Amino acid sequence: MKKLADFARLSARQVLKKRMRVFLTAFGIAIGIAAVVGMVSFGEGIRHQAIETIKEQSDLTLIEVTGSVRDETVIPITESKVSLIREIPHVEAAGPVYRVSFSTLHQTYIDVLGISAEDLRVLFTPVFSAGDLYPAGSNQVVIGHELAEKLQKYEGIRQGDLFTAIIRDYAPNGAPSDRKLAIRSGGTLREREDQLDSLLIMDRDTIHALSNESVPYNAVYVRVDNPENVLTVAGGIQSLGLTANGAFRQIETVNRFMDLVILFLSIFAAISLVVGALMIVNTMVMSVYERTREIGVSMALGASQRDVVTLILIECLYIGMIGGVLGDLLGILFSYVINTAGKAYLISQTGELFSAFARYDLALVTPEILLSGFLVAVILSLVSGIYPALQAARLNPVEAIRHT
Amino acid sequence: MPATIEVDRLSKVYRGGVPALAEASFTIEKGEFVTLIGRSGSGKSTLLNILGCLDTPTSGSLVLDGVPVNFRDPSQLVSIRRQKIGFVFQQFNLLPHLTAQENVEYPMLFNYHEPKIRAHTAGELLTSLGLGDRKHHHPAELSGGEQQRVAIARALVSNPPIIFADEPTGNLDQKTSADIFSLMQEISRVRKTTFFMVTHEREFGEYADRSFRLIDGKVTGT
Repeated sequence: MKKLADFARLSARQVLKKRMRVFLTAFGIAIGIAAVVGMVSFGEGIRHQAIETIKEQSDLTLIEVTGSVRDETVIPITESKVSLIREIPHVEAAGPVYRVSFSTLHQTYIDVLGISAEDLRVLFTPVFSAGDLYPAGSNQVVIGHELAEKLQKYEGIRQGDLFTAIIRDYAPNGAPSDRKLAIRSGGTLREREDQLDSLLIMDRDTIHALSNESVPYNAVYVRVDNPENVLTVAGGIQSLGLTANGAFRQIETVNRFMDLVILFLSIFAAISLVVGALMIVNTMVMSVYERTREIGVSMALGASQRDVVTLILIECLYIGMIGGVLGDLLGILFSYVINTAGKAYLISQTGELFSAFARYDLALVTPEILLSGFLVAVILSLVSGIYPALQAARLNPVEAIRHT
Repeated sequence: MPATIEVDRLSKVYRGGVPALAEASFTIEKGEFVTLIGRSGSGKSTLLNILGCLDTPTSGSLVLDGVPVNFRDPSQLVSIRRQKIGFVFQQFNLLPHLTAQENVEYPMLFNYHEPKIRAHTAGELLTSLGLGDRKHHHPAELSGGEQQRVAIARALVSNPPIIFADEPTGNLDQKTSADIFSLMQEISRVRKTTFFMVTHEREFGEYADRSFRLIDGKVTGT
């Protein structure tokens, strides 16, 4: 290790001796790194903007669990499955629900969610524009904002009204038969911009009592303590053989798509890195040629082949480090230009389509991107130095000392 | 006196069948100052390079300071060059970007020594060779004689038992050459270091304990 420190000092002297050549070579790498840093930052900025938009418009900590089919076997949601879901770490609440559909006397179709009043309160935190939650086992319902407007407009049903819902059953031979159920609008929700807006919500036990036989739940709504734990909980649910869905799936889709976009952007930007690497190979081959006699003398004075390789690679390491730092600085500058001139231009050209970018940076430079850029520069330089280093180590010392 | 260099029927034939060295055999004792005299192309450098473990013979054997040299073992050759051998070249071959003291320390980088020990050893050697006030000068700032003194200090810094010198005065004027020969002779006498020097200048044969002559690859002794 101490020997390596001495070699590092010795190589630093070589680099300083040819500082202009080293700077130009490092600059070649730096342009490639800047292109990659800029492109990846641009991709990350778009990813960040998309995810933030999903977060703002969606309930990230809510998971909807449904049954699934495995090996042609239906895995239903039973009470025991619900208990197992509640035991998954980071699950704050889990409420099983029934989903059925009613129609009105004037044939307005209504989607119905059967959920206990307590689960509705804990999982969805309802806010009422009128009325309140329903008592357990009652025929009282809560109506979503959008549905309430629709019922009032087409059926004349208002908050507090008693109205008739028609439940259609089908006999084993497929013949339909209708039942009538008197229900009272006990509460109307404020607009939420989620699925509850279009639903009629009533007590789960009341729905269950309407069916002639015991049926499994249609879904379970799960509330997770923190958005960061949603994927872990979703994994736990999937391990029970059930399906987990929610806004987090949109984020996964965005991430998968952006990973691909960033990969392609990086590949194009990386072409300039190849040019930079070839510049290093050329510089170091030239350097080895110019120092042939010096290398031969070093071998005569006790340098092993490994010592020669180490000395050359340390010089490449310096070139990579200089190129990495320069590349990161240029990348930050590139991203700054994208975030100022580029953003203003994009918004002026696209109008409302990209207005969300006004609040976010178009290119997002993170410490991880800068560190990766630096490491890529260093690794690329070291790899580029292997051929010249081996060429130097394989020199015949007798011929090398005679070299003029 | 124990033998420091034992050469037994060393031969070297280059590709194409060109003979450079023909069954050279001789023994050099510890502390001896030996010169090898011969015309250009007589095989002097070939013999020196083989003795210095920089080149391999076609046949024959070599023992340096009691160690049989295995020319097929690169790591042993490196080890011998580090511990048993010092080189002095005709062109001095100092590294231009290093100071005189750093040039002298240079071989000690490969055979690791603490920086303080390196600096102390190199400084003392340079002072003893009359270059105490030139330690921090670069080779371009030194005269030819001073550069060769630095090169001699560099060859001595690892305290090797053998020093090979390839026409060390070839680039120096008559007076400086005589000074360098005297210096090496003195070092050989005081430090008991074996000197094997290649030269084409017969007049310096008087400094040597023994002189070999190389004619068409064949060694003859005096």
